[in-house]
Amino acid sequence: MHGGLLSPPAAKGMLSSKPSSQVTAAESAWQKPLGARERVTQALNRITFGPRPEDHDRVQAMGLDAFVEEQLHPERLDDAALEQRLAVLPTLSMTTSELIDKYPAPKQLEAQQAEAMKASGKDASMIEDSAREVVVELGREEVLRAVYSSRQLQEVMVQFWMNHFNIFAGKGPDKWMLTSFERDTIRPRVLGRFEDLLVATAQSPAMQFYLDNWLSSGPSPTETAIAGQAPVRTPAGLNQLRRGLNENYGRELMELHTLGVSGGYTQQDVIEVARCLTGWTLGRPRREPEFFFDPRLHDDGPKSVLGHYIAPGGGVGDGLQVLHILSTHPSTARFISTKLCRRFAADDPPTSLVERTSREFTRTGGDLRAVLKSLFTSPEFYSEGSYRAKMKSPLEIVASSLRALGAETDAGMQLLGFMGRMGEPMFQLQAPSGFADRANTWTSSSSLLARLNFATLLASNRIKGTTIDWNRAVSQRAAASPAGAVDELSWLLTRTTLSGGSRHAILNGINQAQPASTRGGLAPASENGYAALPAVAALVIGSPEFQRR
Amino acid sequence: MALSRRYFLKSAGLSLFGAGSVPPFLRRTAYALNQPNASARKKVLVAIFQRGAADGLNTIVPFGDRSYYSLRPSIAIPPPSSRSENGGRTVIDLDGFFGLHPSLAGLKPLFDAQHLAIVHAAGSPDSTRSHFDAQDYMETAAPGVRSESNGWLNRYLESTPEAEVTPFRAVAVTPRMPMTLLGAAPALAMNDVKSFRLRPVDPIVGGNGSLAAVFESMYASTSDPLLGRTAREMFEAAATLERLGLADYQPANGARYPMGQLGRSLQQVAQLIRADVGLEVAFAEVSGWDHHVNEGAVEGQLANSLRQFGDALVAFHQDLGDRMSEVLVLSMTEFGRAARENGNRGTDHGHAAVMFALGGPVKGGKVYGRWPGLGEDQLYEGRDLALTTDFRDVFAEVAVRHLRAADVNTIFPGFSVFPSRFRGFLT
Repeated sequence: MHGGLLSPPAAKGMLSSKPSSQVTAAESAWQKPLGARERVTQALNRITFGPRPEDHDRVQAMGLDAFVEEQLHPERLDDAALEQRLAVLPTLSMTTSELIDKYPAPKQLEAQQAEAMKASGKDASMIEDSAREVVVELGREEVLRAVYSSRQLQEVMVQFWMNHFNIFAGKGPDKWMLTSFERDTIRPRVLGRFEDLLVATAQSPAMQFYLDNWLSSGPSPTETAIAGQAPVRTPAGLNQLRRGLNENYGRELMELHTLGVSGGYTQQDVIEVARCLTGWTLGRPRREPEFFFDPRLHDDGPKSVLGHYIAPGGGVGDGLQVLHILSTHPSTARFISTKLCRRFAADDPPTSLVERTSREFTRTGGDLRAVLKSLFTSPEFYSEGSYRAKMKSPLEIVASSLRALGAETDAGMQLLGFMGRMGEPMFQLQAPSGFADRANTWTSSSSLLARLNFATLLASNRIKGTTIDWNRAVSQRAAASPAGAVDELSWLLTRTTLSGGSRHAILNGINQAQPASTRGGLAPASENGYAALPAVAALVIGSPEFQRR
Repeated sequence: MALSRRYFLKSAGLSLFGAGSVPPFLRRTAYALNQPNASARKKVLVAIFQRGAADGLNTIVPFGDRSYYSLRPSIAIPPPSSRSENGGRTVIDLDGFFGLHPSLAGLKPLFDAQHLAIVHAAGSPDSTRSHFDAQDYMETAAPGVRSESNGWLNRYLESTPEAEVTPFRAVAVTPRMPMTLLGAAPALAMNDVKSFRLRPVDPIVGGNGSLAAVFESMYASTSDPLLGRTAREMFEAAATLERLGLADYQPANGARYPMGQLGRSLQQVAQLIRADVGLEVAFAEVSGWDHHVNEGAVEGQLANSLRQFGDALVAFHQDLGDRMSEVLVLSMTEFGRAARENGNRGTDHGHAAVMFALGGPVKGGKVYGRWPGLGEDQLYEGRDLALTTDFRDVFAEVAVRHLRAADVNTIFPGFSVFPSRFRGFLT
C-alpha cells in the first residue's frame, strides 16, 4: 500500500503533463477510505504537530470523534505543564508598551543601526539587539507550544492564522507588537467567528502599522487640522505624512485576508475600501500603540464597495461595514476554505471537499470551529488522497520529531536557527502573503540539507538546549537488534513502516559498518546496542517518509 | 584543476560515501574537472528579482518629463540642472532626459563604458497590482495565467539540454526555490555556498559522512518524486563543493560587496562562476522595495535600497573583471509604482518599471524603450507609467542572443517571439 500512499499527489507544476489515466488514479485516491489505524495516524498528523508515543493508543481508545471534539474545545484542556515551561519567558505576558519600555531600541543604537542600514540596506537584521530578544522569545513560545501544548489544534490554528495574517517583525515597532498580536488578537479567536478574527486583526496595532493603514487619511486632513486642532495622540512630526490615501492595507485585506486575488474586486474597490478605513489609526505607535478612530482623518464621503453603497457620515462604521461585507462574501468562504483544506488535506484539495467546507463556512456565518469539524469528519480527509500527502513545514519537522522522541527542549537559539535554515525564519518573512502552504515551498536543496543536518544533530544530542533520553525514548527490545531499532524508531516517528528501500538502506548501513573505533562506519549493534540508536534515529528523522505528514 | 575525472570520482567516493557505495550519478559531478580552458566556458545569466515592486520612476528618473515633478511634489529627485542649489544631490544625467538616482552613482562609469543598459517602461502587460500574482506571472513569463507554475528559466534549461551535465547549471542563491527555476530541469537552491555541506557525525558513530551515504541511498530509492529529485541535486552539489573546497572566497580586483542580501548573493554567484562549476543560470533576489510610506527622495528608504543594489552590481562587475565578458546580469521587478505619490510620501502599486542589463554582452550606454510620457492622458489607467516594452521581449532577447536557446518558443507559452520586437540591448 505504501507505493501508492507515499507517492504524493504530483506537485502543482507536474499536473499539466500527467497522462489522464494518472489523473483518474489521483482522483480515485480521494474515494479510497483509510483503514482504522491509518485514520488515527492521519488525525494525529494533521490535527496535532505529530503523535507522541502514547497518542495513538489513547486516540484509538477514545475514538476519533471524541478526539476531534476534545481538540475543538481547547478551553476544556488543562495546559498547566506548558504554562510552566513558558513562565521562564518574561516577555510573553507583557503589554506592547511594557516591551517598548523594557526592551528599548536605544536612541544611540538606533542611530548606529540607521548608519549600518544605510551602508547595508539590510532588512531582516533591522531588529535592534535588545528588542530582538522579544521576537526570539515569541519564536521560542511558538516552538514550545507546538511541542508541549495539550491544545494541539489550537496551536496548529495559531500558526495557520499567523501565516495567513503574516506580519514582518523587521518593520519598525512591529517587533514589539507581535507578542500581543499573537496572544491577544489571534490565539483567543482561532476557533471563533472569522469576522471577529478579521476585525481584531484590522484593529491591531501590529497590522495597522505593518500595512500602513494608520497613516491613511481622507483627501484633506490638513484643512481639518487647521480648522480644528491637530490630531490627538500623534507625534507632531508624523502629521505631515498624513495627506491622503494609502492603498496598502485595503488591497491586501481583500487579496490576502478575505476574497483572494481572483475574488472579484477591482482597483476602484481597493480605493473605496481604503477610503472606508481612513481614520482607523494608532496613537503613539512607538510608545503606547493603541488603536483608535480619528474622525479627522476619515473620508466621510459616499463610497461604493463591491456594489454596496456606503452612505456618507458613517464614521468608524464604514470600516466595520466593509469588514462585514468581506467576511460574508462568497469569495471569502471559498478562499478561506481552500486554504484550510490545503492545510489539512492536500496541496490541491478536491473540489468536493472545498465546496462542502465552503458551504459550512457560509451556513454558519464563518464559525471556524464548525468549519474545522466538517473538515475533520469528511470522507476526503480520511482517504488515501490525503494520507501522507503534505510536506512538513520546518516547524512541523522540529515539533514532530521532538514529540515522537519525548525530547526535552528549551527551544533555544540553535533550534530556531534550524527553522531558518530549513526556510522558515520565524516572523522574518517580509511579504504579507505568508508562506505558500505547498510542498514546493519547503522542498529545496538548501532546505533538505538543513533537514538532514537537523536530524543528525538532534539524534546525537548536539542541539544546545534540546535533549533526547535514549534510555527512555525506545524499549530494550529496540536496542537488541538493528532491525528492532529501525522498526521501532520508524513506528515512533512515522507511524508506519518505512519503505523497503529506506529500511534496506539503513540496515545495510548498520550491518556493513566497521567497529566504531574505525572511521567510516556506523557502530555495530552487537558491540553496544544503544550506540547505534542515535544513528538509526537520525536516518529515520532524515528519511523521505518523515518529511511528510 | 589538473585532477583527472577518475581521481575525482575515487576520492569523492572515499571521503563522502564510503568504499563500495559510489552512487551512479556521481559521474555527473566531474564537470569542473573537464573544463580545459576559458574558450569552452559558457555564457552566464544572472537574474536579479527586486521583490516588492521597485519604483522605476525614482530609479531611472525621467527628469526631462515635466509631469514627473508635478506628480511627485515631495519625493521627486531634483534635476541635474539644479546641481548647485542641491549640493550635487541630484539626478545623474545619462542622456539629457533620463538620469540615475544619486544612490546609483557607482553605475555611471559602467553606463559610460557601455556595459550597462536600461530598459524603461518595461514590465507585464497584465493589469494586476497584486505583488504575488505579478511576481508569479513574471517568473513563469506567462502573464495572466495563474495555473502556470513552471519558471521560464527552467523551461529554457529544459529546451536546451547540455552535453556536459553539472548540478550547478542553475543555482538560486535563496533558501526556497524561486518559481523562475521551478520545473522539470534540475536546479539548486543554495542559500549559503559556504555552509552547504552535510554535518559530520563522528560523535555518534565515529565516522565522517557514512550517514550521508545511507541518507543518499534512501533518497535514491524513494518513490517520492519531489524529494528524490531534490535530494539527488543536493547530494551532487554537496559532493562537488566538498571536493572543490570553496569555503573561503576573496573577491578579486579590490571589489567590496555591500552588506545585505544582494551583496551576499552576488558574491556567491561570482564565487561559483570563478570556480568553473558549470554555472549558466543564477538567480538572486532582493526584497524591500514596497515603499507605501515615506519613500524618500535623494535620501531615505528607496535611496538606501538603491545604494545597496547599485553597489552590489558594481562590486560584482569589478570582482569578475574580464570574466564579465560572458556574463549578463538582468534585473526585474513585478511592476512599478504609481506615478503620483500617495498621501504618505510613498507610492502605491503601479504598472511599468525599469530593467537593468549589465555585462560584456550588453550594448550599454543607452536607455532603451519608447517613453510613453507622464501626462495625465498618457498614464496607464490614469495613474501609472504605461508599458511600452513587454518583459517577455526582454527575456526572449536574452534567451536567443545570450543563452542561445535551442527553441525559444517553448520558453514563452502562448507568446510568439519576434526578433523584430527585441530592444537590441544585447550584442
